[in-house]
Amino acid sequence: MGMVEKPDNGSGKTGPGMAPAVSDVDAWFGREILPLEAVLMEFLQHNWRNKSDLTDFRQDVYVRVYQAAQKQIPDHPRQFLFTTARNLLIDRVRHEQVIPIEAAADLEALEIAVDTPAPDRTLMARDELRRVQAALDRLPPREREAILLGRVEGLSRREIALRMGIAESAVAQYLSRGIRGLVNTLCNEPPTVRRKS
Amino acid sequence: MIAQTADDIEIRASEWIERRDFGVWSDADAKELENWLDQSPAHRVAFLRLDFEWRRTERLAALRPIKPQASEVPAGKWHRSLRIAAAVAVLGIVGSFGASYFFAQGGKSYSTPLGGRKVLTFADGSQIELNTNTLIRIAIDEHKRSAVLESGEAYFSIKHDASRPFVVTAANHKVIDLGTKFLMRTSGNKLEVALVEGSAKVEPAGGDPSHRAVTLKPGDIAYALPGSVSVVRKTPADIGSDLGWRRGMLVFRHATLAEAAEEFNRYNAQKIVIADPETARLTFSATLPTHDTHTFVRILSKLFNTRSQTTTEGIVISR
Repeated sequence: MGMVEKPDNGSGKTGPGMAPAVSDVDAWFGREILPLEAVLMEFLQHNWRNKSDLTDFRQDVYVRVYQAAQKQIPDHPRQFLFTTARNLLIDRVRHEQVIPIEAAADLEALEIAVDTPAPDRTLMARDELRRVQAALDRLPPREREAILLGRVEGLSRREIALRMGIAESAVAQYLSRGIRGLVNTLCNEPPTVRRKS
Repeated sequence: MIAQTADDIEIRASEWIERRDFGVWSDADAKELENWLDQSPAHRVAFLRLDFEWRRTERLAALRPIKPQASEVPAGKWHRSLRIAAAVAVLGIVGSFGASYFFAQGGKSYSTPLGGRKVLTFADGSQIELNTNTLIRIAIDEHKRSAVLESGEAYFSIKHDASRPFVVTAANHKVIDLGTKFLMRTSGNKLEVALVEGSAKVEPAGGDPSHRAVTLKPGDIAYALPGSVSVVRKTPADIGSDLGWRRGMLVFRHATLAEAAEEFNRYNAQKIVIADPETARLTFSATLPTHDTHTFVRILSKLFNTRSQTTTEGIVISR
């Protein structure tokens, strides 16, 4: 395993036996893990043959990371995430009993992925509004309109329905689809700035 | 239970967020969401993922247009005259000369010194709690209830009265209480409003409010600057931390030393100075008494091996 931290005995910030509060785990997950999603997906795409269940795979990785953090918040989130993903890959490969050759070969190279540098957060923050606007521009027109009325003008579902002249249930559909569309665009765009290692 | 795919769960999670942010949302709904989240960690991570990224779009509120001619000029004048009135009011108390002319509208000034704290209780049952270094002017009569928060921080616990909504003005914005508890903090032209209970409206003072009023729900924090209001949502735990001063405590959660020093300096005459940006960026979590800079300094030396030196500037922390 070399330099990679083991998920089960990472030394957390809280003492042993002291479970962190739910709000702390949630905040940690949002702050440390979610910004790595683009890199994680790149890694999974590279190492998992079945492209159709990548989102399920991602979810399994997140669930494992979250559950581990509930016991103890890992010190090195990045290493922890990729080690978890790697172990899950190995589990699946074993479970399927047939070891795909390319997966086995790639497992050797996994530790390289762990060192992929994190996006520069200050630059990301500066570009944030522009990025959000770009993601918004990629939504279908009705979803974009509903999101703009809700987010920029601060209207409620009912007020948006009146403004757009459609039923509230339709607005709810546009809004929830718009939320998913925005988030998936924001999560999956590769980090714009990477530090040279 | 039927196995759900990640996509099914994501759809459900987005429907919860839509309902919470745009629909009618009650405590019972919040409870129902809690139950759903507790059902499975897959639900929780899917929801967290959407919710965290979705919050990034809150800054879209900053795009809300504001016409400077309509709001800023009259608001600025109004604000300046109140500033003078408030300054004279303080002089009036100190020098005990008649300042009744400046209180033609009725009202009274209250203030706290550096490190002070004061609870004001009113006949209608409302309470206003002033934090350190705060100046507020309050006018309550049978026709209206209003206050001007000139500087500092106050926690408002307002008894609702539909015929006399409670209006607080600060930094060119009005906060109109709709029966609620909220925290306001202002310095210079910046204003921060955290809604704890009930609901309240934030709008530019003096301008046409119809398009630019923002209604806050519990957990919402509004940041108002001249020309913009943006809203973010905090967890109840984070808002609880912001209210620590009511118990005489400062609550830091993953705070940088720069942020912590700034907080301590709001309460104490002896200032804390962080020597270099490297040290200023270190983060920690702790709950400490507002006046106890010495424990703060001691904890830093334990956690980060920092050194401290007392100079004329204050206590200088370095590594």
